[in-house]
Amino acid sequence: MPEVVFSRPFLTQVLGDYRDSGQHGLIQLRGESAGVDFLIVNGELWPTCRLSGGSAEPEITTQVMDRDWQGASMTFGVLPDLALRVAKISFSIAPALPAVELSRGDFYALMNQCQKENRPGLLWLCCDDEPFFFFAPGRYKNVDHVVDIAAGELVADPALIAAMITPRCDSMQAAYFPFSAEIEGWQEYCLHLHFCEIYDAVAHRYADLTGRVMSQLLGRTVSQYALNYSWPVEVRMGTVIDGLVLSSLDEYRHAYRSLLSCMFEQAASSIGDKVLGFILNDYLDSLPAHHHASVTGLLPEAYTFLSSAGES
Amino acid sequence: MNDLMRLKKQELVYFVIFLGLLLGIYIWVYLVAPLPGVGNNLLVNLIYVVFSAYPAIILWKILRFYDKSEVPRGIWLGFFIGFVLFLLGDVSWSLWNILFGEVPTPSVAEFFYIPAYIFLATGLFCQYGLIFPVNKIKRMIASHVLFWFFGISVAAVIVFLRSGGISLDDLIEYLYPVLDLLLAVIAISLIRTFAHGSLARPFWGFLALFFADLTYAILMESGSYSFVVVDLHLGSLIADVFYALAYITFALGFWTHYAVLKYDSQAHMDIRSG
Repeated sequence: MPEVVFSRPFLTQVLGDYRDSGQHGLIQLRGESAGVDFLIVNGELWPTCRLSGGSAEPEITTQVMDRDWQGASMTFGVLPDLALRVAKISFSIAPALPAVELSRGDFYALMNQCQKENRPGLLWLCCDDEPFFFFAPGRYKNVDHVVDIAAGELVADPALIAAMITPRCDSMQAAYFPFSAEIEGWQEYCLHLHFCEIYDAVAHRYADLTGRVMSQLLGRTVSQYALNYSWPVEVRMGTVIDGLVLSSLDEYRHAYRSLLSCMFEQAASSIGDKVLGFILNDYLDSLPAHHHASVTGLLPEAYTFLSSAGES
Repeated sequence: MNDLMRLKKQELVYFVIFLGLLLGIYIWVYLVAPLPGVGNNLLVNLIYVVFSAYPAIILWKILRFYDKSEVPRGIWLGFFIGFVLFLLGDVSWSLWNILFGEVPTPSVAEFFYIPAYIFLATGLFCQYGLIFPVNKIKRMIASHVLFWFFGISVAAVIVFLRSGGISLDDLIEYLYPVLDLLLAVIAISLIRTFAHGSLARPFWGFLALFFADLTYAILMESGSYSFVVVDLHLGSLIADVFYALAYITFALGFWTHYAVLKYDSQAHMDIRSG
C-alpha cells in the first residue's frame, strides 16, 4: 500500500477516487499518539472506523476523520471482496476477547468454545504475521469459512479447513468477535448458513424419497448452475461447499435465492411442487421462531407462501 | 443440448414409435385377422406378452440404480416383483389360449396374478409411507384395520361361495377390478401428491389397469369376450387394447424415471468433468 504524509485535500481526492471506482478499500492513518483504520465499501466510507490502541469499541467515522491528523502518515489500498465480510464485522463491533497472546493449546480451547456457542462467531488469528479469520457457525458445527488474507482466498473446503485449524506457530495472537444480527457482515454469513441448512434439509428428505442417484443429480444440478455463474459453490458428497464472495447483502441474497430456485425446480421435476412444499414446511416448522423470518426471506418468490408455516 | 439429453429424447421417440407400431399391428390383427389358423392368436398373444414384459424390464433397470440399503428401493422392488408375476401370468394365459383356446377361470395364471397385487400394493404403500411417515400407533391401527378387512372379506367370500350365491369364476373376474380399484385409490392420491412431478407418471398405469380389468370382467360376464381372434370382434379388441394401453402407460411412466436416473445424472457429470 502506498504511504504518504496526510493532507486533507489528498484524503478527499483518495475518497473521491474510491467513490468513482466503487471499489472497496482500506485507509490507515498513523499519528504519533493514535492511529485509525477507515473502511470503504463499494466506494463509500463505512460509518464506523477502528482506532488502533485504546478502546476496542468502533468509533464514528465522521467524528474521527474530523480530528487533527496533521503529520500523520497515510496508507491506502484496495480491499479484496473476500476480506470484506470480516472487515464489515471487525469495523462494526468490538471483539469480545481483545487481541491476546495464546499458546497452541489455548487456541484450540478457544476454537472449541466458539464451536459450542449457540450463535456464530468470528475468530481472528495472527500466526507469523499472517492473519486468518475463522467463521464458526456454532451449535457444535465445524468452522466452515476461513479467510486467509495473505493467500487472498476464502477457504470453504472442509478438508483444507481441517488443515488450517492447526496453527503453524506455537504462540499466536487471537481475538474473538461475537455475533450481532445488526451487522451486515453477520447478515451475509447468516444467509450462507441458511442457504446451507435449507439445502441440507431438502436434499436429505429428497434422498429419502428418491434415492442416492437422484440426490446426487440434485447436487450436481446445483453445482452446475453455480458454475454457469462462476460462483464457487459446490455440492460434494451431499455437503454444500460455499465459497461465495460477493460485495453486498443484496448480491448474496440474489445468488442464494437463484441457487435455491434451481434446486427446488430440479427437485419438483420429480417429486412435484406439493411434496417439495411439505418438505419445506416440515423444515420451517422445526426452526426456532427467531430464525423463521430470516430463513423464509431467503426462499425464492414462488415459495414465500410458506412464510406463515411454523409461525404459530 | 447435451448429447446425452439428445439421446434420451431419441430413445423416448423410438420407444413410443415401437410401442405405437406394435399396438397398430395388434389392433390390425384384431380387425382383419389376416393370418390363417392359429396364426392370429399366436401373433396377438406374442405382442401382448411384449407389452407385458416392458414394465418388468424397465423396473429391473431402475432397480440397478438403487443400493439394497436405500428405502425407495422397496417401492421399485415391489413393483418389479408384481410386474414379473403379471408377466408370468400373461405368459401362462397366452400359452393356454394358443394351445386350448378358451382360458378357464380360475386358471394357472391366477396363481401369478393374485399374488402380484400384494407386491404392487406393497410398492404403493411404501411410496405413500415415504411421503407421509406414520408413527408406530398409526401403523399399528392401519395394520389392524387391514387385517380385519381382509379377514372379513375372505369370510364373506367363503360364505357366498358355499351358499351358491356367487360362483368362483364370477368372483375371480370381479376380484381384479376390486383389487385394481384399491390400488387405483392409493395411486390417485399419489398422483395428486406428486402433481406435475415425473414420479407421478407410473401411477397413471393403475387407473388404466382398473379400466382394463373392469372392461374385461364386464365383457366376460356378458359373454362378449372371444378367446379366439376372429374377424372384427369389437369386444375382445376393446378389452385387450385396454390391457395393452395399461402396460404402455406403466412402461412409459417407469421409463421416465429410468431416463432421469440414466441420462440426466450422467449428463450433469459430463458437463462438470468437461
